[in-house]
Amino acid sequence: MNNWKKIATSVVALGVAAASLAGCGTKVTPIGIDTSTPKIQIMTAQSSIAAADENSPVVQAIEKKLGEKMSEKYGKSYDKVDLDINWIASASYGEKVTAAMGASEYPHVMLVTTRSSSVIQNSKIGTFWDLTGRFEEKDENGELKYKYLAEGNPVVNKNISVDGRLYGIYRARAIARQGMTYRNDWTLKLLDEGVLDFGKDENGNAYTEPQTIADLEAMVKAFTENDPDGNGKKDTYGMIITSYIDGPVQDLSVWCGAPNEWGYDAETDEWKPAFMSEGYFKALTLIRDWYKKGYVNQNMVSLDPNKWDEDFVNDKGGIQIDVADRGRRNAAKFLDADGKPREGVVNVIGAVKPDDKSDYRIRPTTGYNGYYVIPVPAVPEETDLDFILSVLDECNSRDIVALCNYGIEGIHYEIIQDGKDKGKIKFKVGDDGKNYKADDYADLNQFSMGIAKNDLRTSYTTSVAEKVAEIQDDKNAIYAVNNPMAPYTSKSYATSGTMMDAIISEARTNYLVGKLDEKGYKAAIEEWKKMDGAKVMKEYKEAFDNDPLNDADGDGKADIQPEQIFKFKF
Amino acid sequence: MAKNAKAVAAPAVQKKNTWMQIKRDKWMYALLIPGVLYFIIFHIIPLWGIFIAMKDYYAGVPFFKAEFVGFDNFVRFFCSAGFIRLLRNTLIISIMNIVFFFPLPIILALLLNEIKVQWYKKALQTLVYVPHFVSMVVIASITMMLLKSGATETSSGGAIYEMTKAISGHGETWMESKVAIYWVLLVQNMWKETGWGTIIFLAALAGVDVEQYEAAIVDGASRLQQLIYITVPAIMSTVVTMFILRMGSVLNTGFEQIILMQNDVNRSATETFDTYVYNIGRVEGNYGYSSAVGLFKSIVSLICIQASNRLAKHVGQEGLF
Repeated sequence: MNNWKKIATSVVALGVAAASLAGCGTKVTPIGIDTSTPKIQIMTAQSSIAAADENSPVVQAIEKKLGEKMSEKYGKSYDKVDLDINWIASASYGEKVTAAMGASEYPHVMLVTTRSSSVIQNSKIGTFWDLTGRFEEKDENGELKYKYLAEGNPVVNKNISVDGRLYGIYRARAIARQGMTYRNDWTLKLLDEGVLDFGKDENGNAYTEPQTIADLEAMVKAFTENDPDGNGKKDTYGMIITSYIDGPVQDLSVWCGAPNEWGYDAETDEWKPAFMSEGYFKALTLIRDWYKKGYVNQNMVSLDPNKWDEDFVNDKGGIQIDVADRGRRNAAKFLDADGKPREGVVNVIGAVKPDDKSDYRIRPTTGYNGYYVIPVPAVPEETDLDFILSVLDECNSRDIVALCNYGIEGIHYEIIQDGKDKGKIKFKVGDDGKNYKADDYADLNQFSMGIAKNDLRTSYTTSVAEKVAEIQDDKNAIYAVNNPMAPYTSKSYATSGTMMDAIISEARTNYLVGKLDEKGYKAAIEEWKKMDGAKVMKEYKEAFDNDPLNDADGDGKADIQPEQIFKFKF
Repeated sequence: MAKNAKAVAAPAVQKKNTWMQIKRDKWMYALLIPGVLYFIIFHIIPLWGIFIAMKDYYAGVPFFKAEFVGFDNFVRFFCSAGFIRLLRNTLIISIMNIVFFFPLPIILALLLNEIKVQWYKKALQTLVYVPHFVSMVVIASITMMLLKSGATETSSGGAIYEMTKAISGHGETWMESKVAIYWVLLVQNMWKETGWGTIIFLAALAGVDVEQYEAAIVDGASRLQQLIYITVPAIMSTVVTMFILRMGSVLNTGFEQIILMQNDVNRSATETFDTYVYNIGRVEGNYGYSSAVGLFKSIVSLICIQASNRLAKHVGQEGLF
């Protein structure tokens, strides 16, 4: 009797275990486009401590607004579109994406932050919906079905493509993001004294901003040797560089005429990494020279990037090359007696010419920070896909973008009614001096894609901030030296890239501080090539040649497009 | 002919005997079943997964859709730039552990053994075990708090950072040094595991015949002589066994500790086989390739353990098997 009981319990226990194992298979949660509250599961990255959750009034406002928009579009009556956002800490986000793919358990919409080899592979085998050409589709009235997504930048769409196919909706970032922040007051004083001379524009007016690398060299020298702050002491230096040497070197090298990451060498018909180019080596040699002469801080190898601004705001160092936004932040740190930012102390420029004969250059970003994919296993139906795309499309509309970035008008921000900033957005400030109830919309700007243009602008406290916005404007993209290899991956680089990079970055640092000469640096490049570099170069070239997007004239061979071939020397 | 028949019959008899034995002790053998099942289900059946090391297999790709590439993954790994560096990093960490850390528990056990006041010895023994139970995450955070540099020039950094700063004039960020990080890892390991490692040696020491000591005392041996001529030879076989086991895992640097202490600056010095498998497999999703790396590591471990076992036998010790 007792025995039977035991056996019965075991059987039940086994049954439960088996059932729960069976439950591990992929289960599809429909969106419910026929119910009054469709629910979309979204997995995205969280960067603040507490992202806005479903109780936030801003999230609720977005959901309601989306409901209205969808009701209008589909002729149904939706109460709201429930956004079931699963926030994942950004530090371990890539891992979570891999885990989701490994288990084949997907949300309806998933952000992909790094194009890992498994993401590429899954794109190829059709795990994610192929969105190529979908954004340009028109409905029966001849209107674009997804009018905001159709505004997407083709360069960025190419950057996220796999084998020429588009699998995602990118989160837009400024393409022209980098800039040189420098002490404007010092520069103007030295221009006045005649120490500096930036030449004249076509109308004969003298430039007040540096234009060429030669101007930059003169500035760095004069900032150190010609007492720019006029205190009679030699207590200033030219450029502040931190242990994040890579950033300034890359910007400076592009300004010196190097390619951005990868360039085409017409002589050998090879694609080569930037660090092999003449322009890159020139930038390194400049910094090496400045370091030797004391124009650059002597602790550059070890200076924590968090301390980048210290010497700048303490009137010691005069130039920083980083994101242009650094200029905006630092301009606000020079205060007058009333505690208001002083005008004219800081300036930012975005583009520099290699020499007088060449055009301006900027090092652009890839234009995106991750992209949203729609996994087929979670969204098998075309109708559901259409609904999701409509929702994501509307997330780029002016009112939803405003909600995501600034919160609710009247509660979190207001529109300035008059003055020079008329129509601009001003955040309300709480008693603690921070933005009022910023937790309500925390990280929603991370969820937002920001693909379409709109007229939403915040009001700035300094004129430098406006200058930064001007630099970041996409119209500067004409000067961009794009990275032609941004869309591609290399198998060899994926597996040993970090260690190959270490060879170059070690050699570079040693060259900069004078521990290595030109021969040593070139030897490191040879070592890089010998290890896996030659393979990586070949794999990238193959990827470029095989991408149908690079074959515009359809002759079966990849075209080296003129904008990608600034004619680099290697 | 008869001889032949006998030769054939002998194994049959033996076979029959074995079978009889099994039948006789069937309940004993029944007790084996859970253990055997455990090994079959969790250790033998999953072995077929090794096949992914021979496929171009990524997370989320159906197994049969993945391209079969033979030993391509292995070849790519051995020929890659990473291989030499990984081997170098792994061996540095491992050999530093064997040279500096391995003797410590033995020394500590010998010292503890010399304490004659029982309650004091017991208390001390318990105390040295404690760090073993502290999570590696906690140890890593403590280390970082001690070693971190100040966020700004004015704010102060960790205690050790400030000390080096006071002595040398400029603070040393050991976490970001490609040399110092090895010593940081070693010291962490020593602090955490030395006490725990004494257990096995103390057990061996407890087994030493007390009469030997008494005889030695009668013969006029000093404490040091007792140590050298009685205690050390008595625990030598344990030491050798432990050493063989340690050699078997010469490529296992442990994963948790290094991944916690790794940062972008020291990565080229701290990336070992274990962390590499994690970064390529778990983060990057390149399951096929990382399986190949893992498999290579297991094979090397097998060779190492065999070799050191032979060596132990060769020098006259018992060995492990």
